[in-house]
Amino acid sequence: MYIKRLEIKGFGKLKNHDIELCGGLNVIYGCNESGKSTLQGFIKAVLYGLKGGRVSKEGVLPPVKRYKPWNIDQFKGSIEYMLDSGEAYRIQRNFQNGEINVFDSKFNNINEKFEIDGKKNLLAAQKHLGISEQCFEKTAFIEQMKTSGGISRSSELESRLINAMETGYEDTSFQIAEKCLGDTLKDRIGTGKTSTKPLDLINSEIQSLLKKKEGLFKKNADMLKIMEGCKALKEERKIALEKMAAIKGIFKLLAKYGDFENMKQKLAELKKISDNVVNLNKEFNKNKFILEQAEASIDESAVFSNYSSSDVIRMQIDIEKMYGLDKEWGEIRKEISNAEKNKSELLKYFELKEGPCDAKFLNKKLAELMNELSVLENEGYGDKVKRAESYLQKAKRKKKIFGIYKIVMGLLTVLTLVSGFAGVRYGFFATVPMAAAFCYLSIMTGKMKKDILVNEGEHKHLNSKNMENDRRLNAVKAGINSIYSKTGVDSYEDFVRQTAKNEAVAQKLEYEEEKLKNLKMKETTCRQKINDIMKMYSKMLVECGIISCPNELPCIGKIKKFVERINAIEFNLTKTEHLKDKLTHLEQLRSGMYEKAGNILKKAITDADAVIDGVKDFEARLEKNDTSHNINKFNMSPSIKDKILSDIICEIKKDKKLETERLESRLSEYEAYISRYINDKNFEINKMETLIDNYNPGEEIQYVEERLAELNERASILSEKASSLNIAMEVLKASADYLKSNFAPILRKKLNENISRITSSRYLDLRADDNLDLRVKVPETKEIIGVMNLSGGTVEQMYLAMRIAMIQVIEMNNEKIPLFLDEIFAQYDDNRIKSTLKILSDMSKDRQILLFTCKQREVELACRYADSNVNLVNMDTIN
Amino acid sequence: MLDVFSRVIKLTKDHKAHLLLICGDLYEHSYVRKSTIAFIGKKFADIMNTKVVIIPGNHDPYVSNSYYANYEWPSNVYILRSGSNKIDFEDLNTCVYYFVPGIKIPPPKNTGRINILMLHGTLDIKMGRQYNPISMDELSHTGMDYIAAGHFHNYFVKEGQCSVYNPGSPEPLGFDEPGEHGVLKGYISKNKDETDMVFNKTALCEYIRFEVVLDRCLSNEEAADSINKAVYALDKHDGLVEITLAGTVEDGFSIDLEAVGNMIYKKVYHLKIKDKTRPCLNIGKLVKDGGLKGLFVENMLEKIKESKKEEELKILRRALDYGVQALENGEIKL
Repeated sequence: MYIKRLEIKGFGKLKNHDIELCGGLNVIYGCNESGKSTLQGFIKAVLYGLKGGRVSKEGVLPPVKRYKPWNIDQFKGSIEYMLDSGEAYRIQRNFQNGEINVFDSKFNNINEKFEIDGKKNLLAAQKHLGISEQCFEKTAFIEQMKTSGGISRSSELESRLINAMETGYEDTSFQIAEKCLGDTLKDRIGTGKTSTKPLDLINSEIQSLLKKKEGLFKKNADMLKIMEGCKALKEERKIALEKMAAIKGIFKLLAKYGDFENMKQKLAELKKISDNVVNLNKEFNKNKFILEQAEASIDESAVFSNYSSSDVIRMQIDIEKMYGLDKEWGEIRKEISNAEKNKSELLKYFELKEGPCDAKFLNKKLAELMNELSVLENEGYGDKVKRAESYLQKAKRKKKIFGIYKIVMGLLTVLTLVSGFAGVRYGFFATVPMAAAFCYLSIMTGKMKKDILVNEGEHKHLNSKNMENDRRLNAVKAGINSIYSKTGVDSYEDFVRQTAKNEAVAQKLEYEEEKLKNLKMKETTCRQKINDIMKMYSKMLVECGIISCPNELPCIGKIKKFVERINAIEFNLTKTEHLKDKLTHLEQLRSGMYEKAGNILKKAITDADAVIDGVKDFEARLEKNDTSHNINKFNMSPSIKDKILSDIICEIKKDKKLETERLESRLSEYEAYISRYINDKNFEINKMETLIDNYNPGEEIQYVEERLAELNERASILSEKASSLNIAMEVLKASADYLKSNFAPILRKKLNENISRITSSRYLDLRADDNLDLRVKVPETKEIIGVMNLSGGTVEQMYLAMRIAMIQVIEMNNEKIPLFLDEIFAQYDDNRIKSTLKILSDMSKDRQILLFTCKQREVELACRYADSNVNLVNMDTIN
Repeated sequence: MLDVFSRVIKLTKDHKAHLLLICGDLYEHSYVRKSTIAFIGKKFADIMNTKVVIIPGNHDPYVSNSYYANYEWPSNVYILRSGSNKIDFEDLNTCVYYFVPGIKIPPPKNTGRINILMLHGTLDIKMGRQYNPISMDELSHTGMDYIAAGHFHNYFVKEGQCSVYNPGSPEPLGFDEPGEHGVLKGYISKNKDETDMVFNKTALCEYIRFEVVLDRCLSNEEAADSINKAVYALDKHDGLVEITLAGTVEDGFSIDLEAVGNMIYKKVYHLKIKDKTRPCLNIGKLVKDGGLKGLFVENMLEKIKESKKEEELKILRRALDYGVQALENGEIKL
């Protein structure tokens, strides 16, 4: 391709320029700031568009702003170009509104023939040039001081190189595709290094479910193990139950043995009963005979039967009592005699004195008089009279005084009144107090008079009282003196002493009289009792023929006889009672024996013969029931291997006389142990069965399995897709490597050719590594070094060689790409300029080259070394 | 499954069978629930007049913690195992033997009896997974009057010097078990000519699998339409149907299986659709275009050509599709 014409309406400082270009070397010459670089930028802008965006960190404006024209409204331009095939095209671009139109040679708008990228850019240049803008910038389009920049590690460039063999342009990037596959694998499926992607999540869930499944299986296995254990326990329980049954069998056996022993005991008992019955009969008959005799004796002494031993006893007591009374009577008589003697002696005392009865009276009288005397003396009427007289005198005196004052006041009152009437000042006024005083005194005297009258009356009364009091006092005193003389005393104290003595004697006398009285009464009573007793028992003894006369006092002998007879009857009666009781008791015992025998024989027994017959029958039954042989037949099931039970059975079989109680006790103990054992087993079995019933891992296992199946299927599908992606990546890389290996030698060859020419064969071996970094073999040292270690100019030259080589590789089957070289010789020496120009000249034979320079010398050299005509564009002239 | 089991029991009861022979895999040892065992036990108890003889299989081994060993089966159930590998039914004049894995089958003790051998294993299979392998030749020398086999889930009867009857599973368990499933019912006699066993279908469901081939399909409706035509003729309301979509779809289009499933109007018990279609790539153009893409396609085609396995082929074809998508579009539709 080559650019024929540039039409700049407005672009940076350029406006309304039309520039014709040739297909070979075009040298665009101009001073600094003449617009050379702007022109270069215009070309790229029309081909690829202008980028917008923000100001860079360095303060550089984005291209769309940087190149906005200063002075005019138009910000647009167009390029006409021709492809190698001869097809001509025109791109018109308005940078202001972003509009782009591509026309063919017939001015058909052929926009629709080109693809549009994501940023809505029409990819016309990409298609026609066969390279992207990035590749263009890194190869054919060299800006000032940027020869070496941007090549290294350019994936875009590498991809383009890889695709160098493709016909036509296709924006096929190996790295993009590889990244796409890798990202798809990583993000949408998951690799071993990720953890949150779909396959990872599925695998994670699968692992978790597998663990869970393992747990459930274990749980299930545990449950099955428990079931197994449960079965074993049931077996043990079964054996224990068999043992229990064996124990019950042995108990039955022992019971049977016990029954037999029991029967033997019963037979012994029956025999004993039989003997007892015989003895009882003998005893019964004997006692019956004795009873009959006693009853006969009682009949004979019927008359005595009216009286009992209690009568006898009472009689004995009363007779004794009677004798006692008699004795008592004698003693009473003696006492009466003594008492009479004492009395007469005491009376003799009082004969010498005043009658005893007066003593008390006198004492009493004296006491009264003394009391009265005291009262009279305490009345104090004398003092009262004196007081009254004194008071009266005072009152009279007071009255007298008051009277005088009253008279005075009266006179004063009259005086003052008169004076008042007489006209004396304050005469009436003085009358008032005077009159008031007079009145007061009048009232007071009046009161006093009354009072004196009262008191005079009182005095009179008191006086008479006093006189009466005196009179009585004299009387009392006379009375007292009389009593003193009667008792021969002179004073009250003597009287009191004498009185006390008399009283004592009087008391004694009284006592003796009383005593005598009582004794006489006692004597009478005693006598009466004796008579009563005599009367009572005489009748009784006459009835019984002991005495003949009721008045006869029975003697001891007679009474004794009576008593003996009574006792004899009593004895016989008691004896008969006793014998009757005994016979009853014997009868009861006999009945009891019959009943016992009946219980043993299980039938009614009423006589001794029946008992004897019963014994015989029982003996016969016992003989039949001998179980000793049964014991030997008892055997335990061989499955029951139990030492204790075996020992017990051996013991049973060995012993003739079994200690059933001991054995039963031992067996009971063992039975209790087995029972506990069975209960324990039951408890364990129930526990296990409950556990088994509650264990339901089956359903969960099923769910887990289903889920696992589902997840495994999904995992399988994803794994398959992952495999596909991996294979695609592998094959893609292999293909890319293969292609890389294809272009690499070509690139190297071109590179070496170019650098060799540029450096006049100084450097012959310059290569680009996989990252497109340049390394060169230093001719002197043969050492391979990175080109950045060389001088700046040499680096520029080497990268120029690289760019040219890349263009040459890329365009091998594609459109020839024009070169745009802006001030590339800045660091070149003359020789290198020359050699480079020669190359460019050679290249310009079949491609368009635009060389931008500000140096006249370079222009001259270019013109000199170009084999064909050079198109010189003077920017100064254009401007 | 429980319903099918009930059916089998009912069949046994109606037939008034003397014997019910179960040649293993009655339950899955690791998964079975106790309630299921209880159900089975209860069903066996319903046919107390029938003697149920069971042998263990690879899924239900007779181990110490198995239900065979520890569950209290009804008294009409006899479980044969190693150490107790035969049972004699005097009243039926029959003796049933169990072929214990790894132990030679002894000859029948009483030739007057109807001697039945029950085995669970692979018959005449030389490769692949084998369980308790045995050959017809070996069986023909056992002197048994009837050989009942288990392990394979599909019904077959092998005739030869001796006849081996394998009823299969009474209910299919997956899409890999198509066809009818049931039990064998009939009469066994010492006289082989009088032995008459008839297959009785007991399965409630049937697994059906078929393929629908698409050609450059470019919509779900088109895919659904193709499926509907294919299933139209099906008269399997109780069927479990698996449809595999094969063939090609247009480049850039992938089938939405859920959407397609919703458009299937034929009612079946269960429908599963698998997508094994592949995109329709213009391989020739891709190769012709050359460059990285062309080379990639060429290399992938080479691999595809070399591949023999179906699964690998699927992966490679998909890899080709993914690579082309990545190169052309910079994105991939999985």
